[in-house]
Order: sequence, then C-alpha cells, then structure tokens
Amino acid sequence: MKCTDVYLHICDNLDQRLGTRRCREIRAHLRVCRNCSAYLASLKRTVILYRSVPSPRLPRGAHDRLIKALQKHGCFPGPGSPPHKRSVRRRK
Amino acid sequence: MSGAEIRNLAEKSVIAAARTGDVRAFGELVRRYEQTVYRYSFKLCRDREKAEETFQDTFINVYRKLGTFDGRSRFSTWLYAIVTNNCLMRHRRRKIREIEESLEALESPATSSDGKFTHDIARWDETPADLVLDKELRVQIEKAIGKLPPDYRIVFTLRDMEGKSTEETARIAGISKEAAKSRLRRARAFLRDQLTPYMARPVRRRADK
Repeated sequence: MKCTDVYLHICDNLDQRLGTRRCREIRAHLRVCRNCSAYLASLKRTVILYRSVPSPRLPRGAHDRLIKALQKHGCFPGPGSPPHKRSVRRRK
Repeated sequence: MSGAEIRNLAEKSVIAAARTGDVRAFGELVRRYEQTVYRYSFKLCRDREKAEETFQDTFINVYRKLGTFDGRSRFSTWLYAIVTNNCLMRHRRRKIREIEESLEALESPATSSDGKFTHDIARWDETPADLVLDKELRVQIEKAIGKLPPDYRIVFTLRDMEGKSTEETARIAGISKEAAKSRLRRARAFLRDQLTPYMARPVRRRADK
C-alpha cells in the first residue's frame, strides 16, 4: 500500500475500525509511515475543530418573520382569519 | 385536533395531516424543524441574513411541495435537500467559481513515482480542541469554511457536521456516493491545509500569546 492509496481511502474511515482487508492494510501502513499517520491525525483534528464551532440558534423574531412570510405567500391564514384547509399540490 | 394533540403525534401522522391541508399540522412541522433548518442554512450560507432568507424559502417550498413528498425517504432528508437546493440557487446567482478549480487540483499531497509523499506532512500540536478554540482559531475556521465552494461545503457539512451517512449525504446533495466521497476528501484536505499554518505552530508560541 502506498501513501497515495492511504490518502484516497482513509477519508472514508476516519472514525471507523473496519475489518476489511483494505482497512487492515491501511492500519499496517499507518504504523510505519509517519507522514500518513500525521496526515490522518490532522484530518481528524480538522473535523473535530469544525464541529466544535457553535452554530447559532434561530434569531429572536425569526419565527414571527417566517409566519409573516408564510402568510404573505398564502401558506398560513392571516391574523384574525379562521383556520382553514389549504390546497396542497399532489403528485399525479 | 388540538395543538397539544398534534404535538404528541408521531412525525408520520403530522406529515399526513399537513398533506391534507391541516394548518396546525403544518405549523407543528415548522415548530419541530425550524431550528434544524436555520442552523443548516447558516452552516451553508455563513451569513445570518442569507440564512434567514433560505430558512423562509425552505418552509414556503415545504408548504408548496408537501404533496409531492412520497415518504420513500425520511422527511428530514427531503427537508435537507430543499435547504441545499435553496442555498445552491442563491449562490449560483452570484457565480463564484474560482476556488472550485483549485480544489479540483487538490487530489492528494504531492507524491513521488513510488507513491510516497514528497515532503514531510506538518504535525499539528496535540492540545485538545476545546482548549485551542480561541478567538484567533475560530476566525481562521470561519474564513476557511467561507472559502470552500458550496458543492464541497454541502458535503462536508452534511457528513462531518450533521453526521449524515455517505448514502444520505449523496441523496440530499443529488450526487452519487462516489462523488460525495470525493468531495468530502477534497473538502477535508482543503480545510486542513487552511488551518495548517496555524495548527502546526509550536505549542509554546501559542501559549505565550
């Protein structure tokens, strides 16, 4: 197994310990190749770092603005109008 | 059906009721998925205003297309696909393509004829992520993901941030499994390269800041 082969296949298996022949070969290569093991370690860290960035919650007022947009497009009854059944386009 | 009853319904029943035109059931779908849709929109758009526009467009599309949802895929898969399409449509209007070409070239680090890397791979420091996620690194991360073209950002976000499988990622993005794997590999490599100048610095220098 070459470094290029490892590069092409480790991505699929970053967090997996699969028992396939290819995975066993990759693990054997990683034990002896400092470059590939450093590359894999940094890829794992990359994913962890991106995951650790918090994603924002729905901003204040966004729900109400959504309801207004839905009303504007006829998807929701407007203020004061009775609940109604709307027509939904159905697949033929 | 009362609001409380709808809240306790299984997802399939809520969708079925919304498909018949039950406005409360549609409202319940909004309630259940609005945080998910907004967060995913933000991860793709990287901008609060655009994320909110995509968020609104998505639920308008859900309302209009709910009758075409056949239940063969999970509802969340269908929903993610709508967000993805809305984000791509917005981006295509702006036609930013330059960096995609450079990502195509990022197939693998340079190798010699015998398949070995021609240069040493930089080692990253081993400090735990929660300790090193300071303001400077966060800015680097935001910049890097902002540079990633949408087609790649979509796959990276779905696989590595949302935890979707390769199969579901491919289904949502409307691409083959092989294309999803290839885009993920390139996206991870690109993001890693963007952070390497920062992460490969000696730990002592970073601690001295």
